[in-house]
Formats: sequence, structure tokens, C-alpha cells
Amino acid sequence: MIKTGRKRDKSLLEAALFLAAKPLQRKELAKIIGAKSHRYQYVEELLSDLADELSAAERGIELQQIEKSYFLQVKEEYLDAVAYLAPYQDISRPVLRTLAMIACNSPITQSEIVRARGNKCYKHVEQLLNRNLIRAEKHGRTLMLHVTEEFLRYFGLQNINELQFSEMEKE
Amino acid sequence: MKEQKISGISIAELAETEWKQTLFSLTEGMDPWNIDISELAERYRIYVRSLREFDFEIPGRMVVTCSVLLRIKAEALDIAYKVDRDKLLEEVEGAVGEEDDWEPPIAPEQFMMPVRRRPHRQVSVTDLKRAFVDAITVSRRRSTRLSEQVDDDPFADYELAGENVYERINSLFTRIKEFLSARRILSFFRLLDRGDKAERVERFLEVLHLDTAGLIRCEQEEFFSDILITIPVIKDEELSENDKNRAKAR
Repeated sequence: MIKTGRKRDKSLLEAALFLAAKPLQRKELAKIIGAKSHRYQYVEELLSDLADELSAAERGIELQQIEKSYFLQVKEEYLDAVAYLAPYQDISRPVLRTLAMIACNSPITQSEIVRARGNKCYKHVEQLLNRNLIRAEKHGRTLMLHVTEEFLRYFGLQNINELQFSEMEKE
Repeated sequence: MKEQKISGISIAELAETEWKQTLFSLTEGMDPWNIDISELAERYRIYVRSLREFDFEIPGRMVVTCSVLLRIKAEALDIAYKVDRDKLLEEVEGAVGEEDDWEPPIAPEQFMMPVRRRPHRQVSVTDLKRAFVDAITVSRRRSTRLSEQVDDDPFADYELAGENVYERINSLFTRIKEFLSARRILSFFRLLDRGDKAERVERFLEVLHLDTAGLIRCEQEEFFSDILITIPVIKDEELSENDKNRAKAR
């Protein structure tokens, strides 16, 4: 049975968010359901309803928001069990290794990371900065790298200490 | 302008044809069971470059053409995997050398139209921790490799005019830094004491070594003119950390 009105719009948003390869902006979502630009509030209401439904314990995915963009993701507690089904990660393995080293030793200078990881990690740092997973501040002739709030949000952490890298690993 | 042709068909004519026809033209004369991908890529490169020269926008059908080319490549890879996937991966890993930045390719799936989106999943905390252990392992392997390189350096004890070459180079670098603490650019001639040919050649070799190591940057605007020396900032200095460590180790 084809839904109409508000139900249809919410289903359309869910379908769009499921299919999209990247977070969708409020503007794009409004366009998908044919809402006028001044009806952003309506889009936000639908997204809020959808988020509430997905937040129920029996649901495996959740709606996330970065600034004005929205996306669906697997809930952190189920991710390890199903991760192998999607072999493509949104952070490549080399970049993730660089991020792990920064997270474990945050704050850490870029030169220290380069010493440990090699010159290619300049590119990794650039990508991580672009994704707002780390931030950099000038530190003499190099940069001091810190993890960001976005990093904590991405990994579902309250603070960096929750990561608990063992002392042996921290060598 | 000379009209460019592929398989005897002009680019302008080729641009008007269906994407399938374009592909047939691009592969004309090739054995359909043994398509030379490099030759095909070269023909395609000429074709795309010509489109740019005509200031056309590359139309959507060319994206389809690209996808078909990719399919040919993917199928070729798939056949290779069936032969001996492990051996192939081992070979690739050996060729790449730096396993840190190498990810094993994912075997291509059955190619179907329309292509299904492959979701990129988010990374979990477990992935992050695993990545950290991997990073530490790679880092240790890397430092071992670097220290072995230092030990095996055949020039470590090389002497020139009774002096260790590395000590001479380090002393020259210290001198350059002192000069450049007061100015931005240093003339090569200021590094000469006697100024004779032998000294010029010796100093030139030392300067070249420092430049190769990334510790200094040399510029020469014309042949046989003065060489201007500067010290690169931030990134280049960090890049040469390994060289500094090697110098310290000695």
C-alpha cells in the first residue's frame, strides 16, 4: 500500500538516508520529499520522528547528524558483529593507523607521528583534519595534533580515556 | 591542427557515436580474447584528451565506457585470483614493499547493471584499537629496518682527505645554519676557504648530499652561476628526521 502525506515523506527520507553514500544535507532531503526551502522545520520534524523510532532498543541502526547533514549508521554495540559484511571502511586502514596513534598519544606533534609512521602520514593528517576527526595547532615548526569532539562522537565515546589502550600498546 | 584519428575514425566522428560504437572503435584490431589493456588505455587517453581540446564536456556515456573498461580489468583480475590468489597477493605485497600502506584488494563481485552501491561502514572502537596495534608493529619494523640500513651503510667509515665524510658534512651543515641564522640566502662561494678547484668540487659534493637529504635547498638560476642555499621550513625539516637520526647514530 502506498503511503501518503507525512508517512510517505518520512519513508522517503529513510530510503534516501539508507541509500546515500554520504551524509545528506537538510536542503537535499527537503528536495527529495518536494518540500519548499522554507519548510526545513517540517523536514527536521520528520527526521526527529525517524530518530526516535530508530533509537528503540530493538533497532540496529540509528540516525546521526553532523552539523546540518544526516546519515544512518549501525549502532556501536552491533558494529563488530556485522562489520565483516561491509568490507569497505569509510576510513582507510593506513589513515586509521595514523588516527589510532594520534588518539592514543593525544596531544602529539606531527613530527613524532611522522617519525613513527613515515612521510605518508602528512596526507593522512590532512585527511583527518578535513574530516574534523583531529585538530591541529602550531607548535614551533610543527603542529600539535589533538582529537576532536567529532572523533568522540564518531566512536561513541564520552571522553578519550574510554579508549583504554593498554600500557604495553602505548610504548 | 592535424586531425587525430583512432582506428581510422576521426575524433569528431567518434564523439558523435554511441558509447558501444566508441568502445568497438577503440578496441578495433585487438584480439577480443586477449585485449591489450595498456594499448586500450592509451587509445582512450588520446580520445579523452581530444575531447578536452574540443572543449566538450565528457558526456555521461563515457562514464559508462569507463565502467565497461573497469569491468574488463576486474574480470581479468578475477581470473588471476582463480589461478592462485594467495600467490598473486604475496607478489603484490612483495612489490609494494611497504605493507603499512597496502590493503589487499577485494575480489570483484559479479558485475551487474545497475551497479549496487557498496556501503562504506563506519569504523568501530575495536577497529581503532586493532589499527593501533598494527601501527605499533609496523613502526617497530620500520625502526628496525632503518637501524639496519644505518648498520649496513657502506659509506659509514668512508674518509676523504683523512676525514670522515659524514663528520665533514655535519660540520658543513652546522656552518650553513650559522650563516643562515643572520640571513635568508647563502651563496655557495661563502662556504669556500681557499677557493681552488679541488675545494670547490669537495664542497659541491657535500652541498649536494645535504640537498638530497632535504636539510638544505639549492637553487641555481643559470648554468655555472652561483648556487643559492636556503634551509627549508617545517615540512622539509621533518622529512629529513631520518637523516638527522642517522647522523646522530653515527
